[in-house]
Amino acid sequence: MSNMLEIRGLKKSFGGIDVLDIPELSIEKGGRCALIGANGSGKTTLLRILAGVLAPDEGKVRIMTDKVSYMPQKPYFFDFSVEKNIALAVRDRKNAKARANAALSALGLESIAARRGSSLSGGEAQRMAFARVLAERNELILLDEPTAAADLIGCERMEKALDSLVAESGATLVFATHTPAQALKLAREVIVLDKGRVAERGEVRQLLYSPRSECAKSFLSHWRL
Amino acid sequence: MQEFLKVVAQLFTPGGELLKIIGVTLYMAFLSTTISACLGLPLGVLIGSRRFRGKGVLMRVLNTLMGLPPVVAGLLVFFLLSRSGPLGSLKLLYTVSAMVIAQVLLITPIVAGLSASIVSGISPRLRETARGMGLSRHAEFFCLLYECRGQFLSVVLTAFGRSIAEVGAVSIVGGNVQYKTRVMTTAIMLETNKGNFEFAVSLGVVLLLISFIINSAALSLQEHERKLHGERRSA
Ligand SMILES: Nc1ncnc2c1ncn2[C@@H]1O[C@H](COP(=O)(O)OP(=O)(O)OP(=O)(O)O)[C@@H](O)[C@H]1O
Ligand SMILES: [Mg+2]
Repeated sequence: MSNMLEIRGLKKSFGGIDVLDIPELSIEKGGRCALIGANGSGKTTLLRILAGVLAPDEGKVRIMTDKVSYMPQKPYFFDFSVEKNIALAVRDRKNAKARANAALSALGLESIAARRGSSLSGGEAQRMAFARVLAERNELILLDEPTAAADLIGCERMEKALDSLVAESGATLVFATHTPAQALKLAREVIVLDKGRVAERGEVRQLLYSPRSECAKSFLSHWRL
Repeated sequence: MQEFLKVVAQLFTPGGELLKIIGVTLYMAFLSTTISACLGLPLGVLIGSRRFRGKGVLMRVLNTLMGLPPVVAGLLVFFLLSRSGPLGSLKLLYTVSAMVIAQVLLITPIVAGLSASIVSGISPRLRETARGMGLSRHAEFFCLLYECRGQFLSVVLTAFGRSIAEVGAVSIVGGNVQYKTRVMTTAIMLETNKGNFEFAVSLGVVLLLISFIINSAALSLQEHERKLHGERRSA
């Protein structure tokens, strides 16, 4: 299996403080990878670099596709309708509207299609940002805590939609999460970040239930699995 | 009250001095605001949306210029345009053009500084989302301008307010020449110096009214635009 993304000698610091230091990391095509780690461990920074929003200080990042969706931790909403906010993410302009609406109904959000993006609640906003990802169906999907603000039903719908999207399209998925259940549901692999370094990487069940590194052990001891 | 009625009566006297004064005031304020907006908004957007070396210094310079004392700007333009000055041959001193030049010098930094801080406030988050959605740089830029439009309007109105209320610079370079460069503020100064306080206050009220009308017009235009693209709440 070939790789979807490859990282070599990646370093990033903010104001003299090292935030990321990853000598080598690759994720294969069709991989489903959960990024976990404490607040400030560098999950967002890594995703932003993968998405090309942030440039690394050192090192190389190779992404094998230009069809990338990235959903930031705090997505932005343009001051037009929700439908248009989503349709804007679809390259296929002819079917953009239809696909935006399909994505909205998959998430049970038909009722907010005509609302202004700037008028949404936190959870509605996050689900809308996820609808953008769903509508475009890109080959690499990067999500930063996609369900952190959603209610339980919203969360379940998003996970279901994401699961079937990835299953159908064979997209590569990398997402940051703080919920064990989500990692178990959506990921096959887990990467544990600790102070910007990869502390451990492994198959999801194996890693979550019996971590080997000290750092993963102590971090996961707080997770109720 | 009597003086106020006199002012109101003058408002309806065609060819009267007051109408001329209002005309010059509006002409000067509109022209200088338009020029400043054309210069300041693009500059502000450019500075606010890009990251480059020296951006911090540039912002500080702009912020300092935003507080440029009008008499200093007036003096500067006065020297530039005075007969022995570098631009003296243009013979612009004591004309409305000179006043507009001074105003542009005063207001452009305000427009640029405010719009730069507006843009740099939303640009990083907007950029992150726009890139994540795969928008082109062009589309991203237009979205940025669209998102800022309401605040840009406020900036332009602020600039207009500054220019219509300005007195120091315009009296230095305009000279308060009757029927030529006299504007509301310099007329108020003159009447105050002559001891016609009531007349001066009445002129002040008219000036405020003009400001109010223009602000209301601009804001209702914005309201109208919002309704046009507005929220069609579904049942
Ligand atoms: N633009 C920035 N300027 C300065 N420091 C930053 C910046 N972005 C991130 N950092 C720092 O880098 C570190 C890693 O941040 P990051 O957002 O990647 O963490 P995270 O793992 O996503 O955390 P969380 O779980 O809270 O989302 C933090 O210490 C943060 O303060
Ligand atoms: Mg984060």
